[in-house]
Amino acid sequence: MSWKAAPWIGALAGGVMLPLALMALGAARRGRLGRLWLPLVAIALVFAAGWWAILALPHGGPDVAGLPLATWLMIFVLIPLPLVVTGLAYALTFDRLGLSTEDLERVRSARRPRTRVDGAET
Amino acid sequence: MPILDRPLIVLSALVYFLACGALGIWSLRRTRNARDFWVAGQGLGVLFTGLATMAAAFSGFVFLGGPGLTYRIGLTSLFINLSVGITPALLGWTVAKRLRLLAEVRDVYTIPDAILVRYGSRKASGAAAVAVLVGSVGYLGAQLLALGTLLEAVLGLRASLGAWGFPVAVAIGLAVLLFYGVAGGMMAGVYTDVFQGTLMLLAAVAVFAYAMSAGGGWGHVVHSIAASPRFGRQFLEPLGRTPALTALGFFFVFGLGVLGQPHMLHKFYMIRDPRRLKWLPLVLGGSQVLCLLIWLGLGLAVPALIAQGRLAPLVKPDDATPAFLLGFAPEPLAGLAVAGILAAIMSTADSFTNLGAAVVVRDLPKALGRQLSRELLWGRIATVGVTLAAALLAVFYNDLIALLGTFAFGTFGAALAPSLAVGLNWKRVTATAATASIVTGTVLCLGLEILGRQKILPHVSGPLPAAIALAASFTVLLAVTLLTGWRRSPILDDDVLAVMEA
Repeated sequence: MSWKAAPWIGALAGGVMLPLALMALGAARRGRLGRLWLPLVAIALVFAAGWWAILALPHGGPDVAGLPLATWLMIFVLIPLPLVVTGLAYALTFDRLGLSTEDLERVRSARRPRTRVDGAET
Repeated sequence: MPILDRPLIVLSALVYFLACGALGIWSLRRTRNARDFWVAGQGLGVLFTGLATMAAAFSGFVFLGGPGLTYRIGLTSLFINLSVGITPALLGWTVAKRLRLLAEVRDVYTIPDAILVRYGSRKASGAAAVAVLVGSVGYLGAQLLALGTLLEAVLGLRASLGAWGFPVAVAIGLAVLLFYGVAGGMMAGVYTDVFQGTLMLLAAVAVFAYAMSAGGGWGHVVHSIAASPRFGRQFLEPLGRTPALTALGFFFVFGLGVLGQPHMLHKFYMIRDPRRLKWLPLVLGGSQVLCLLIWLGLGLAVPALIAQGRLAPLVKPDDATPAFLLGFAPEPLAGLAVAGILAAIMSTADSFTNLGAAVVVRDLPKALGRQLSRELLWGRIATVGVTLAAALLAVFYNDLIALLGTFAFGTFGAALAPSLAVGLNWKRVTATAATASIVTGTVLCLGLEILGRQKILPHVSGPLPAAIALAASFTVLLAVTLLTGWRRSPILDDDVLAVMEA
């Protein structure tokens, strides 16, 4: 494997796949993501495109608003867009995929008589 | 510029400390039991939780270290912030809900507590406690470095004391931190974090707006930098001054390492109603983005002013923020900004003095199956010990605030992120896997940092020790889980199982 491939592998693994996998692991209920797959895949694609621009465009590409295109994408797309998309996706699916009132009741009913962290009853 | 010429700056700092003290006394009166003491009685709304989390997370690293790092490596420094669009939701999905629900069923107050409950292993929780202690020294060191840099500039110590200026400034900062952490104790609680978070937001937005205006507007700022022989267009390129792997390392460490930051995760225990977590990512992310404006604003404005010949080149990159505030900002804005920087430093520092004390009086004794008598005394001794160790680190580290902050952030991430983010969502992860992952992350991060600094591994520097340790820690967790937990899931207590299935 050439050392030139290392940044691309690193970007794909650590910059797209692992964050996506962790979000999916945390968000899934009984192994399913429901409609959440759509924003998650969309954000993964946005990041993949961003990493491509950062790594592939010579010197960050042509200027946009005085900045190299790749830098402009980092500041004005890769930070605000995922924040809004994932933040809204989290909030809008919270009742179904996050924590419903029934889920909370189920957890509370599993609560033992007040216990210390090591499990001993107090 | 001598401080007596800028009395409003001193006044702002005094008003800031007085306000924190008053809030501390008010919140102390509301503290009746351990639950109030450690997790603010689980009585916070989502706005307060979001602001307190942001205040604990963003420190002198953002306000002083960020512009300093940008001065040295250009806009590559933004790779540290690039993940801020996804980290709030990532935190929400993987750890926030589970941690809060664990606190619903057990008396869980610290991160080693959560690890003890999830894995039922004192080894895992003890290893986590040691990692928290190591990372706390690093993070407090970064705060003292920032406080020393600020005080050295504001008090004009370099001009009057020469090479002794910085150690003296750190010593003054140490005295302030010790007074705040030991004498104040829990006075520096979550309500002061909320106040400090608000102050940080105001200062960041105001400084950004003024910095852009002082540089002649966005277009003039970036054009000045690109046209300057000292900086050039390379400064603005994403990989202009740094290898791609280093930039990726920053993204990786801050994007995934965030899942193991005890000072942030601890705040999730405090939210009153777990269902309010629904809006946490938007509140947390929004406040973080606003606060990061100071990084971008000063990161661009200071080089632009130097390129325009209106500011002398910096002796130290970390002088970027003080140089702008003392040389360009009107006094009321400089006063607000200094109060905002103090808020950023102190809100993070108080989290770590408390976490360090908690490790000594709660987490380590629990891991050893013992209970300390005279907890308050030991807590104060621990606070002094951790802060002194941090001061030595700050004086002898001899590099940028942001790099020390990266090491500390990376230590927490490498040690704790896999066993929390994966372990709280995947029942097969065993206690052995969690312990191995925590030990791997801590030892590797610390070891590689030392080997890199001693030039034994000269290429392993910046974010790379933490990035390698984080990757290794995830790999070890998965590998040991496959070896030890694949055929038979670990047996979990009913209440912990209910939390993991919720």
